[in-house]
Amino acid sequence: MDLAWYGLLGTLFGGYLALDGTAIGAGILLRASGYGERARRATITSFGPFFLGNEVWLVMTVATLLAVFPRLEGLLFHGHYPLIVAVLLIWLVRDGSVWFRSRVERPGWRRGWDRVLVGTSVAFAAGLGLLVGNLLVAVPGAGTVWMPFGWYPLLWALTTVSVFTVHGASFLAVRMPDDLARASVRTVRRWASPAAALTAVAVVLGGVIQSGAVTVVTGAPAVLALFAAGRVVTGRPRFALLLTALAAATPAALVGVRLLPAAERSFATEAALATLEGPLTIVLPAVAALQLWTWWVFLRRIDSRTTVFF
Amino acid sequence: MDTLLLARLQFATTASTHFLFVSLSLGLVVFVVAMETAYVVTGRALFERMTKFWGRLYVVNYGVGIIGGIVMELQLGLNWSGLTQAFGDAFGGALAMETLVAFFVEATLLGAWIFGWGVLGRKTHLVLIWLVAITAYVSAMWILAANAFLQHPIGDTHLTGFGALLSNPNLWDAFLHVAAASLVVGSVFVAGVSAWHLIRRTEEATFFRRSLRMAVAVLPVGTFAAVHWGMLQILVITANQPMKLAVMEGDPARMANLQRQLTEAYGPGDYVPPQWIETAFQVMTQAGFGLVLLSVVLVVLLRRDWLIRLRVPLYALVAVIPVPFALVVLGWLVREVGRQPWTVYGLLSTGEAVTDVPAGAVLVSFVATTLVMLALVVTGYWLIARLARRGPEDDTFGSRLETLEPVGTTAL
Repeated sequence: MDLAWYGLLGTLFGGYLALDGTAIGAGILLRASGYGERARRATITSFGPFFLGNEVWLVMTVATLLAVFPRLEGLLFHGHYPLIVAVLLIWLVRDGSVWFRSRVERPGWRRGWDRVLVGTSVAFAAGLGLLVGNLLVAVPGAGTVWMPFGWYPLLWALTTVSVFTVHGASFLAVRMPDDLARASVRTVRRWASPAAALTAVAVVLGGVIQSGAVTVVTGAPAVLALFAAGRVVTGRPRFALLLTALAAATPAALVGVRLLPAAERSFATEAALATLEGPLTIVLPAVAALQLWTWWVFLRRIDSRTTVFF
Repeated sequence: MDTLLLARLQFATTASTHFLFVSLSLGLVVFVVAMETAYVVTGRALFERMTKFWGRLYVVNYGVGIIGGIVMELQLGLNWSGLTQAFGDAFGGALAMETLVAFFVEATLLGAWIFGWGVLGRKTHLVLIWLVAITAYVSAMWILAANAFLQHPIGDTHLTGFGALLSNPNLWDAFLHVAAASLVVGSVFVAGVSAWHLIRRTEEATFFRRSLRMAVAVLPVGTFAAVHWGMLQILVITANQPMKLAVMEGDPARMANLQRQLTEAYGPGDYVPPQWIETAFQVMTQAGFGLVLLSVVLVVLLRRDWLIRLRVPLYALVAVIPVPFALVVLGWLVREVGRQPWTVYGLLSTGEAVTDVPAGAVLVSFVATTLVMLALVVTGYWLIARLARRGPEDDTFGSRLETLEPVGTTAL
């Protein structure tokens, strides 16, 4: 049962990375996915319907951490205080740019927020990567990491940015109007292999310096998935999206393996978990069904009928 | 400045700012639900335009509100790890329920509502906004449940069932008070914006006359309910937090007496919360009664459109827009600052709850998050005011990518 709770936490974080990874990746590619306002608007519209629902996964990860592993939560937040504050700030500004960008028609206003969205999307992906890297090497409870820029976390920052870029591109290949989708297909084909190589290096080095074969075994599917995504994206973009989603979610599994011993020591009380269990067995399937419904309704190619808002 | 003071300042700033948006969201969504329901039932285009105009203001306000909400959630882990470590399973349980049961559903469905105009069937679309509204209030209820636990940690301090959390006497009066106050914020906002357009005699007279009448009719429900459940909370505070009440009423003799009793019970310490909450409390109650009077007068003036023909009430309505916002912030300051020195009443002091991080780190985090948040909030309010001034526009929701703008207006 305890492992199920840990699995839930991992699913939430992995789900967040896979889902919001599409929006972060699309944000990174905003100014590279075609010329003119129509291309910009189409890029933002591609993740628009999912934008709110995606973010909730991260909020939920934090809430679950709080409820199920209250002592681990404090430990992690304390240990990575400066980095979490920085990621939080980037998150806020990125959010603002999505909400504000299209509410004023002036081209200068939109260009400005476009730049902010691209910059914060890159920074957000890098920040999450740094966090993953630091979680993989730091010992939980060993004090606060004030300088989170070790070479290994930096490698993860680079890896995350590249993986999210490819993931965003495969998402855009599914969502963008036909004439604009080709650029995204090309991006996936060009960058999937470098992203796979970076992931391979990060995973293997992680295995060498830290936890051995477990890390390599956990990370290997991501590498294969990225290579495969580059091959299949032209003919089957939806399958490629599934593959890049797997790669985007993999850091959650790596971090999960690494933190398992610390997590086992910091469960909430049995009674508290039992209380949560009842409502959650009803609510979780319902929530999952709702999310599936929105993806089913809105994950189709943007055409002349699609409505825009952001 | 020490870590504790900075962490408290950050919490106060974030919570106050966040709640400005929460209260308007909770109030406005009621109107959006009513308008869209009227549209689907009657099929009249006027109601559709009303839904879209007020709906856009609601949505933009919601988006900026999320920004504060994210800071709220994360600062609990960042700055108050003493709280999460000692009471994570009770307090965190309520927060987890809020996020899972309410916020998750709410945000997912709101995204579908925004992008579903003209894509989904009318009835499906209406069901979405109903669910968004219901889950928004359920979400507020769980937040209040978590807060009520901090005010009055009854039951087992470890979560053994949601019964104890949900039967807390500090929960229901406070929740209904918050819900009613939010309705006041929403009504005054809708009435005030409509009044502004009627003063300016913009083209949309029918549109804003209808909106104004609707808001003014709802307003007394909110004001009376807010006062009613506000007053009922005094009884709860009398029973559970006598010191808070003594400070609210500015009674030095009782404060000194209670300070002695609390010192006996919990050891030496300063158990008197900051005394300026007395002023906050007085301003909130007096202005609250003022709003009750105003709401009654306005309802009377609904007859024969005197409200509009006299003009003066319109100016009053515009002027009064900020007042309910200020009052909800004062209310939270009384409730939260009045709990000093406790984070969890009687069990955990704020000094014990605060994270063991150097003051410098908290200062940097406080200054940075507050500046960023305020910049976004100011931009958000500027946009909301701008959209409100513009009045209804036909491309608010449901416009098509291809028809919206000519290709290439934004060059690289």
